[in-house]
Amino acid sequence: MRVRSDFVHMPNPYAAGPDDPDATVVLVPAVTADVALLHGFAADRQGTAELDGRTDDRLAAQAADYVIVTVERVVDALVTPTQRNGTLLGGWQVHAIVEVPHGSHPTACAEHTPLDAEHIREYLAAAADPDAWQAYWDRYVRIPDDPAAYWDLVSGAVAA
Amino acid sequence: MFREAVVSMAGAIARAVRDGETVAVGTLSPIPAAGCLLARATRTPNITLAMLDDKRQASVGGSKEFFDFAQRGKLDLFFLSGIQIDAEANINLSVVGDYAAPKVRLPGGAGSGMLYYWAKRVILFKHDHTPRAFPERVDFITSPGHPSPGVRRPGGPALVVTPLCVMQYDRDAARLRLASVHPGHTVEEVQAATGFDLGATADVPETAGLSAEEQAALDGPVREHLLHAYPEFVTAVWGETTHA
Repeated sequence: MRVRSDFVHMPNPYAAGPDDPDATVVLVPAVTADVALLHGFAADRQGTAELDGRTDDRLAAQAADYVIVTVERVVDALVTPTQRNGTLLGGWQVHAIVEVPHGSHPTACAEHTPLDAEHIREYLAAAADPDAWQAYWDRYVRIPDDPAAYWDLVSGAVAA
Repeated sequence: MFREAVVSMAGAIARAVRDGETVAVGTLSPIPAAGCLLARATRTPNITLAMLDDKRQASVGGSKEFFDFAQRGKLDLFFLSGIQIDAEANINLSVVGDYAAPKVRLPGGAGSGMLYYWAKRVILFKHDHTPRAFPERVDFITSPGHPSPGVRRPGGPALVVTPLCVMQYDRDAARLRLASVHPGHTVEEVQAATGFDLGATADVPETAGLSAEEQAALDGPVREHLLHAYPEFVTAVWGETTHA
């Protein structure tokens, strides 16, 4: 096709006949990833992860070969969702769980971390320039000792 | 000015909703949300309304759940926008400039390639009304206004709502026409702000204002409900308020 040569236009095997509006269909190849890195609400030690069901995180997990989920907290046994729109992803689809409170920052995580638009603007400006990027990397990635130190650094700017 | 534009747009949307319809408002769509909530509070109490940005809306299937719903033919009314909308109601959410070497690469259609076909009626909305926003032809067609021959298309464009006017989609001509001009604006102003010929502009009525009941609903329960999805929009329109 004109823009995407990997989209395939082909006869529809379920068409009623040549005049059927669905006589042909377009096939779109699946999008896959080597790794899905997601942030969810909670997880247990069997790898059961609670994701925000309003997002497409479950699809991203299913599209990837290796799934890492950072979560607000790790609990002993995750049997039911802990908050609104939480949806459980079985540990049989998850490879690694990491407890990182506020790990979604600067993006939002419902009921835990608000969107930090100011930080995203700072990130975008830094990403456009090699020197600014090095400064951003040092300040937010290399220097903070752990996620708590990172959160202390950025949460002063986050509105309540 | 901003508040007046919001009131005109929400009012025009509210009047376009039909009672009993299944209506969805997608993400980042505070004006359609205001219009649909206003319709439900006044004229169309029996609509089924899904507001995808409402934090209280139950959903665990992500966008696939919503897209499948539309493809099963369940969606009567939806809202779409774009960086550009052209004379044929083609919408562009993909690129400004050439697709192979874009001036600006945008987030993309977010399902509008399919939703513009499968929602039975689509109201387009835009927060800006300039010749660059409304060119004769978009730089890239994310989704077309008219169907390609031989392709099933249950739905399509009905209206376009902007801060200056309401346009109607003329199916026979496959083109947008001026339907009404908001109070405080003129036909000449609207045409000067539009990059394509709006066609016959004589006897174009003024967009109807809100009744007292509609105004009270907008400032009361509609505003309250909008806080759950668009708190910054509420502040921008109504100003900062403290809650009891």
